[in-house]
Amino acid sequence: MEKQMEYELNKYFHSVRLVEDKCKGCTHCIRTCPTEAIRVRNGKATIIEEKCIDCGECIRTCPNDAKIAFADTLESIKKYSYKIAIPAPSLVGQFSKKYKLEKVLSAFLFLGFDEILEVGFGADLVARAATEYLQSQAIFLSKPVISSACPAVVKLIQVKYPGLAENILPMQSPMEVTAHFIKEDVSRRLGMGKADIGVFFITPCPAKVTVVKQPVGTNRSWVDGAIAVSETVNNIKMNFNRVSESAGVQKASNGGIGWGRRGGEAATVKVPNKLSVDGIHHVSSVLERIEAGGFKGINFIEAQACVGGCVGGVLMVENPFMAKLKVDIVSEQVGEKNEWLIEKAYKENPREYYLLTEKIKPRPIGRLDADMGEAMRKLQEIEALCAELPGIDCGSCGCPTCRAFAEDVVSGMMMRMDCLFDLRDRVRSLAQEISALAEKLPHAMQEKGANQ
Amino acid sequence: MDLHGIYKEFPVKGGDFARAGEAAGKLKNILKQIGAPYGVIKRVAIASYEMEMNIVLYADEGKLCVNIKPREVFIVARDRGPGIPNTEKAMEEGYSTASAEIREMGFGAGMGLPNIKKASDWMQIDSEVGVGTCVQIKFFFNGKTDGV
Repeated sequence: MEKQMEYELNKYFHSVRLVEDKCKGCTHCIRTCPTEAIRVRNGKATIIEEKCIDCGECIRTCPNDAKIAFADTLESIKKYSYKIAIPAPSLVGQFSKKYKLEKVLSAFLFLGFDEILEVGFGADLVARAATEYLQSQAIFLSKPVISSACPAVVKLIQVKYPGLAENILPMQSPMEVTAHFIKEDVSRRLGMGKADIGVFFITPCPAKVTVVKQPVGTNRSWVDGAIAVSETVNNIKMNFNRVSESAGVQKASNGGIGWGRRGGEAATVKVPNKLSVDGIHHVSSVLERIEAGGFKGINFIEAQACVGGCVGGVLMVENPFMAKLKVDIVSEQVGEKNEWLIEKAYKENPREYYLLTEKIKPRPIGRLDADMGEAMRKLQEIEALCAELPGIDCGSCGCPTCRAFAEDVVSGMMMRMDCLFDLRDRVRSLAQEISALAEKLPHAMQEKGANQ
Repeated sequence: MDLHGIYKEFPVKGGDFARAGEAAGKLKNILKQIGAPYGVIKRVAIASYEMEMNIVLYADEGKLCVNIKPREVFIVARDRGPGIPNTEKAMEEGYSTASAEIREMGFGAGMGLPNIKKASDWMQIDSEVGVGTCVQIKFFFNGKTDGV
């Protein structure tokens, strides 16, 4: 069968990957994928590159540990002369009260880093920049502006809701701002070339790993690698007694730290009528409504792919609800004591420092064909086929829904007979035919005891 | 390729607020799948939603009939209901015959028909009091670029 949709392999970097040996082809993951990016072929799950947004839902769903999030290891920092750790705000949620925040941050020095700066600091800066930007752009407030902080959500918009790409707040993420800030600061302070400085994001999620390697909205990332929170937490806890607290290491304020959990970002962006949506499927349905013209009165939407916000990322260790509580406790403890530092840093840079350098490009995957006439013909073929299918989305064909199967058949990726029900019907008619043939005797023979 | 394009009918029940917007949503997804320009998708989304809402808010029942051709979308919203006594007045911004109940729900601002006109490239409205209303609109793929 001629493949009508050619997928270019390796055009996209993806942190989310399959460990083939562990995959049983159970079809659990194909159902929970928000972009229907997974199929089961030859007994193994395969991820369609263009559709995958690295949200990690399949990692959560897989009962056989066959899905992983690839991230850089602590080993990889060694190739830089000066190593900086920039931990996500949600990191603080992985530690209970007995692990003092300043010591947790200092522990990264023990792990081999030369310096550390919390991404919460960058979040404090972005919050100010976003507030100022939104307040000055009255035109934006005629439609909901969607935060650019969660890379999985940005990708979801690019592939599934491309018409909303223009609704995305054109701001750099706190991770990029933090990396940019500290690289320039260290380069100035220590007289080092930026190429010798390695900035590593301590990440709760695969989407961030991907966006470090293939940035969106900016031509190059300031970040050099992303290391999983889970790789560092136990390390820190085990060696905690050997860590010496470094003075002045904690620079974020309560606002920035709050970005680690759902609602935290929205709390720091000072515009009225804000929504906070978490969980990729909830985000998807809200985006669907916005695309249809709904939620008109809403000015700003904080959208997080993970339930609970970043504390719910797949590379986290602690239960997300517990972690959310811990983030709040730390946030309250820190209070506003670093406000002066943040204000000073904020005033140092112009507005452009915080803006994305490129437009976020739509990457629609829903189009049936580049030619509209052909797409219309395919749509009718798909709907005609759908009407014949059982419509129970059993997943036996390896597709998430009967509709997806119909789309795959029309595009030439699957055969009609790949549907178990169709196969069974054919077997049954064949069986009936054979049975009928078996009844038919040649005239020269007579069945023993037959009434003929 | 079928020269008649794609034809679809979406029934709409009067008073069915739970499902209000479903027809407009389905139409939007069809346009996405065939690769219509985003500007058109947005305008169609706005107009079809308002047409659907008008049936839900004011009529007993109706339907959205859509004909999609390669460079044109033609939508007819036909309903059985009270009809509109003065269609010219109804097209005025802010003019509304909504009951207090409807306004309490957040609808009935009097912008529905004007918004449909603004979003579409051609519009015609016919109505008979006591019988029903028929709103016809067309979108051309090289039509308005700013939309509403």
